[in-house]
Formats: sequence, structure tokens, C-alpha cells
Amino acid sequence: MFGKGILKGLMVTGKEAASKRLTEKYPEEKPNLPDRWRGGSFALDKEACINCGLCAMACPNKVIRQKFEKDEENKKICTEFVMDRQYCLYCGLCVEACPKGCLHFTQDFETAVYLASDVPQDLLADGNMEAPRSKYGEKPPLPKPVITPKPAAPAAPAASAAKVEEGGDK
Amino acid sequence: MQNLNVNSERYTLNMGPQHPSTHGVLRIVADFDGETCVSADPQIGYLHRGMEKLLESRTYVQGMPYTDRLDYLAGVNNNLPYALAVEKLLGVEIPERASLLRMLSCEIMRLASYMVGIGIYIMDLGAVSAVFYPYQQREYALEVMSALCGARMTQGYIRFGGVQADWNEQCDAALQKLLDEFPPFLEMYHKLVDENEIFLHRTKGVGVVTAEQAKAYGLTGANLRASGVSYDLRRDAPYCLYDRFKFKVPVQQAGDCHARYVQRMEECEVIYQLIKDIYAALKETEGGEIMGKVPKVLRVPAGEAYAQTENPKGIMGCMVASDGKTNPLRVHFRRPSFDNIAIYSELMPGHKMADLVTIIASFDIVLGEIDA
Amino acid sequence: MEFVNNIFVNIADLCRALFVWLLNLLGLPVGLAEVAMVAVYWLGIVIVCVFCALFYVIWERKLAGYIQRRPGPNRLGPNGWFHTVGDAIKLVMKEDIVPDGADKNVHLLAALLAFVPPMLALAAMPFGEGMTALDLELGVVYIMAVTTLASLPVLCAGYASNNKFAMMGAMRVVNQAISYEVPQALCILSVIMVAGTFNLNQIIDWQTGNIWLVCLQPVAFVVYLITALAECNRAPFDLPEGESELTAGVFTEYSGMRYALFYLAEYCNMFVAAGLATTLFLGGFTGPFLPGWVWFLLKTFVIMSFFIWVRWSFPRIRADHVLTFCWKVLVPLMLANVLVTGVVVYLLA
Repeated sequence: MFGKGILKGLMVTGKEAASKRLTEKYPEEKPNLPDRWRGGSFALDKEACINCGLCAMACPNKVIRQKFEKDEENKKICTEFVMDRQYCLYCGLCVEACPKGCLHFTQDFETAVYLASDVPQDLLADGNMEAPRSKYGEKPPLPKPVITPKPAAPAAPAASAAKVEEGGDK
Repeated sequence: MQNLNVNSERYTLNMGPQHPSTHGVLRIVADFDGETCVSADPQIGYLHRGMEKLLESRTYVQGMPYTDRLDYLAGVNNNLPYALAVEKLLGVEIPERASLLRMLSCEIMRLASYMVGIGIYIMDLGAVSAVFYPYQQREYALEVMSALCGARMTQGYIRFGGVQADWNEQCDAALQKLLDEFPPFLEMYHKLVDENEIFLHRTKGVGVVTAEQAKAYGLTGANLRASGVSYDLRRDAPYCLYDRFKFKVPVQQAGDCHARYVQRMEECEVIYQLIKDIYAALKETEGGEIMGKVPKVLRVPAGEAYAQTENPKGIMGCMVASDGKTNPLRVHFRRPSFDNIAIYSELMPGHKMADLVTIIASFDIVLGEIDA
Repeated sequence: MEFVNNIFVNIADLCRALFVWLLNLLGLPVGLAEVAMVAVYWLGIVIVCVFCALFYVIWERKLAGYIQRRPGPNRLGPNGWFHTVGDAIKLVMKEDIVPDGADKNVHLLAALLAFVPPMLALAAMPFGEGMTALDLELGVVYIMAVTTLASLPVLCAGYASNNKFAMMGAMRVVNQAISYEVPQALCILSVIMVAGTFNLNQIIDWQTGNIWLVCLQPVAFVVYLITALAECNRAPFDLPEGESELTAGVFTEYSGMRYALFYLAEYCNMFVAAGLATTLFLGGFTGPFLPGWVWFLLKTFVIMSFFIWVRWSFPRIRADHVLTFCWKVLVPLMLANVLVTGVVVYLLA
């Protein structure tokens, strides 16, 4: 019958119109972000940071502005650590590059601000560690090596064999 | 009856860069005689971002997020040829689990890209509602990618030597949701569109591409297979671990817009089955390595390498030339949509104005890829 | 129920009595009361038309949303039902941009005249018992003649805009409108042959006395709905405003209040088409329990929902297919229908 396809189409859309709406009603319902979300703001653990500068070197877009100085004890301290989020690609290379794992993404996505000067995030002033953190870039802990104790042997080699390194960097 | 000497003017219509149906910023300068197109000239470059030049001033790893932005509808698929080319130069071995994760993420994003392809196709024809249903499936696919690597659109998931992160239970749950919701959707969509008389009249016999034409113009991907040429890089020149999996390669003979639509729908089923197979194989490599042995500071040995992969839009290739430094000497991408639209100026004349939009949409182009 | 049924008739009588009293007081001839009543009827029709258009704007967006598995506008008002107010305020606040090379007078005139044909048609539409502003003996013919005019302002709009897209849209409008007049006239002819009269109220009386004409003329009903879609430039026949191809087609150069006028005029046109379908095929304002005008509004609501449902389900038909469909499918079908109807009426009469 001519028109059968059209009627079938009407039935399909009719059925869809009667089905439950699939929209997530933001802002009443917040989205359920996954653990590894590459969020809109960063978090820095200032105590753990060793000022190596690897994150700034890893960034493709020169987003991280860092300045280091030598203080009285000739130790390297950080005097400026700003994430220029207007250039950021949210690729996560900086988070992965950090050897101490102190730079994180947050589970934040409502990062719109009114002033352009609020967009760069000064991580020295506020490490933002209270924000819910994303698990992106966390490497799983290295498996603990199994210690098989050597059979009765001279005491000294057995002692050194028992001294094993626990875990990885983190 | 005598031929009336009616003086009708040809006029030039500019389907300008800003247009709801040109899939991006594509400009088509077309001459019309009434409603019939007499000549068409696609003009590109409105989205040119200098990607290939940009990659020359970044290190290899830093260049990876930029490759996502080529075919932005399927980010992971563009990382892969770049990674494969560099790994050819490095000579590094990829662990099995990493290869399987690469294939799984590429197939999931291929499905997501096809959803855009068929959804926008129907939307350009006028049925605006029908675009929401494939987009819901795309949402499920993007949820999987978001659980896997944190980003929905430009993933940057594939790294030299393997992948960036491992599979976990959140990804399991998200993938299961996609696998459950997709078959009922496909059935519903077939019922909605397949026999619709309006749709059939709009697409049958429009934009016919013969097999010889397709091969001469270098069409690849679903467009080539819809014209009768059975060529799929995953089967004919397999990369990663595709030679382990058996999958069907559907082919249509008609070569018109309708055939391209049917081709994409049939390929969706193939992709779905492939995702299930790869996922089953992934489950068996539980606890495997996801990254091969690659130094932190990457200096790629001098040389030139080219790697091709089957992207959702066609065959994407990447040529990497290196002179031993940390930055590549030259990176060039063979972008499938760029070669696919070369056929427009031959295909469009003779068709009506409405058909122009049908033809553009049926080739499933994305401007990010064309302009790089 | 009788009171609610006749409430508007009673209000009109009250107004007439008021005018008569006023005229008697001022010493003017009483016949002027009828002239004043024309203004009252006109005001009533405008109010009904505008309120229906406003309602259908939000109903269309909500129904479109439901088809697309989303809630539609849901912020302004309870669950979004006052959204049209926001729409209207927005369109009024926008600047009326007229392009440089456009014909300014025709550009404005087209927008203003877009509202006229639906108003004229609604003057003869029976909204309820005794609620027809102009009870013409040739009511059906009058409405058909007036709805033909609906495509003229669109043609003027396209021509005056100095824009190739608009011009293409205008040419398509003319194509479509004059072609689909023919099957529409044949549909209405089938109905008239069965009912035996041109008067709309008498057609409704015939249906009350016998059976709804949709049961006797199903083919004519379906074809009437299709031609109504084509006349109103609604999808799948919305090539003139072919959103995917011609951006906004005929209305490309219209913004602000002028666009609002066209937008509302489109809904008024649809309302006229739905009203005519109700009157001719679905028994007009008759029905059990509820007052007549409530039934009329409910039946037009059903038909309008059908129009909206069809719009959001199908792709657009190409320009040349529109014409082949009309002349090669609908016209022969309706001619056959008229022939069969005529034979049956002759045999049964």
C-alpha cells in the first residue's frame, strides 16, 4: 500500500512521544561525572610539589606559568604557579607528567566566570584541594614484590635480601 | 512543438560558509538554472588551523592532543595513525591489552561518529526529530569514553607504546548500557526511516557514484563500499590486532545517496558485533600491560614512516618524517573527507537544489578534517 | 450546560442591546447597532485567533519536544506553558532589520497583510451554535476563495527581500499553493455533493442528522489534510521555508515584529484549515455533554496536533516531487473520488 512507510514512521514517533523523557534536567539534576573526569579547574597539593617544572614542560600550549627562585637556603621555591585556562586543551599531559602526583583535575564543570581576569587559576594562592578530585592520571600502585626468604644461609646476605622497596613513587 | 526561445537567466547561489546544512564551514558556489544546478564549486579553508605546521613546533607527545581535533567527532581514531607511524620509527612493541584497548575505543567512537552521520543526514533532509534518536546512542558511547579517559570528545587516549589508562568497572557498566540500548534503537530507526516514501524519493537515484568514479577520485570508507568496491582496511591491510577478528564487510551496488545510507546502517551492525568481540577478548587479557617500553624524553630515530587506519570517514593516513630530534620534522595527514569532497563538482550539476544538501550530507564529511 | 453553550451568543445579544439603548439615547438610527456589532464580532475573532495561535506555539514546541524525548520549553511558567509570552516579548524587542536593496513598502506590507486571509476565513467559520459571524449561503466557497489569498503575502515577502534565497522560496510558494488548490477544491466538492449544500451550518446539521462525513469520505479527509499541509507551507511541504536548504527561505530578511506576524499568521492559517476540516468532516461543534464551542476547540486541537506530529516526523519533499505528487497522484485520486461519490449520490437520491 502506498504510504505504508509513512504510517510506520508516524507510529514510531508517536510511540517516542509517549515514552519517558531522556533529558537530564540541569540544574536540578547534576550530571553523574565519572571518576576520571578531566574537569574545569585544577588542584595543587603545594606541600607535595617539588618544583620540578615538568608539568609546564609537558604542556602543549604553554598554559602553566611558573617562576622559580632560590631562597636563603639556596632551595628552589615557587613564586608563581598560574594555569592560564583560556589556552588549556584539557589534555591532561601535565597531570600525567607530575612525578609526585600533586597536580589534579577536579570534578568541577561549572567553571564559567564573569570576568576574563578570573579565568587563569592561581594555584599558589589557592591550591583548591577541597574541591572533589578527579582520579585522572592516577597510576595504579605497583604490585608488592613477593619476598621469598632464602633458606638458612649466612646472616648478612639474608638481611640485605629482606630489605626491599615498597611500592612505587606514590 | 517549436522550441520556445525563453530567456532564463542562470544565477549564482552561494551556500555560504554559514549554513545549517554544510556540516561545518563549507562554501559551495553553485550556478543554478531555475532549480537545477549547472555547476558547483566547493571552497574550503574556513576552518584551517595550521595543524600540520603546529605539530612541527611541539614534541611528539605534545602533538597528540592536536590530532584529536582533526575529525572531532571521533577523537581517538585520529590519534591512532599518528601513534602507529611514530611507533614504526621507534620500533617499539605494543602489548596485547593495549592494542585491544585501542581497537575497542576506536570502534566505540566509530559507532558514535556513524550516529552523527546518519542523524545529521536525516536532519538535513528535513526530519528534525529523527536526529535525536541516534544522538542518544552517541551519548551512551561518549559515556564509555568519558569513564575510560575522562573526556567525551577530544580524548587523546592513545599514546606511543600503548594507551593512557586501563579499563575499569565504570567503563564496564557504561559499555553494558551501550550494548543493551543499541539494538532496540537500530530496529526503531529502521522502522522510522527505511520505508519512508518521502525519504526514498529524496535519496534514490541522487548522486550516483560508479565504482570506477569512486576509485578514480580516491573515495574511501563507507562511500567507497556503497559504490560496489569491497575495500576495508581493517580486513585488507590489518593494523593493530584486526586480523584476529572476523567481521562482515557489507557492500552496496547502487552508489547513490540511498545506498550510502543503507551502507552506514549495515556497518553499524558490524561495528556493534565487533565491539562485543573485542570486549570479550579484552576480558581475557585481564591484568596485562597497557604501555610498552617508551623513554620519557622521546627522541624518534631519523626516518620517514606512513601508517593508515580505517577511520569512520574513510582511510586516514599519517606520514611522520623525523630527523632525530624531539620535534617531528614534518607531519602530514591524509584526510579522508578532503578526498571525498573532490567529487562534488562532478556530482552536483544536473541535480535540483534540494539534492545538493542530500549529496553533501550523504558523504558524511567533517570540516575539521578537510581543513586540518 | 445550555447557559455555557450559549454564553457567547448571550454576550453578543447583551452588546447589541447596549448599543440599541445607547443609540436610542443619542437619537441615532437603530440600524447602526448592527454596524457596531460587526466591530464586536471582528474583535472576538481576533481574540480567538490570537489566543489560539499563542497556545499552539507552545503546544507545538512541547509536542516536538516529546517526540524528541525531551521536555520542550520548561522554564517560563508552570512547566513552561507561558513560554509564548517570553517569545512574543523577545520578538517585539528585536530590531526590524530591512535590507538595503529591499522594497521597503512591500516588505512591510507583506508582513501586515499576512494576517488578513485567516481573519477573513474565520469570519465565516461556525465556532458554535449560532456563533458564526457571517453565516453565508456560499460559506464553503467563500472560505476557499479567501484561503487562496494566503500565499500572496508570502510571495510579496520573498520578492521584496532582494535576496536569492527568499526569491527561491517565493517561487516555490506559488508553485505549491496554486497546485494544491485543485485537489483541495475536489475534496470539498465531494463533501458538498454528499451534504447537498454550500452553507457550513447546514453541513453541520446534515452531519448531526446522519453521520460524520469522515466515515463517508475517508479518502477525501486524508487528501484534505495533505493539501491543508501544503497550503499552509508546513512540513513535509515546507520548502518555501526550507530550513536546511534555504536557511530561512522566504523569511530570511524578516526579523523582530515582522517575523512574529508571519509566524503567527502561519498558525492562524493552520487553525483555519483545521477548523474547516472539523466543520466539513468531523461534525463541527456538535457533541455530547460539553458546550458546542468547547467541542469545536477540542476537534481543532486534535487536527492541529496531527499537523504538528506530521511536521516533526518526516523529511521534506523536493520541489519537483511536490508537483508530481499533486498532479499525478492527488488529482486523479480525487477525480475518481468525485466520480464515485456522484454516482452513489445519484443512485441513492
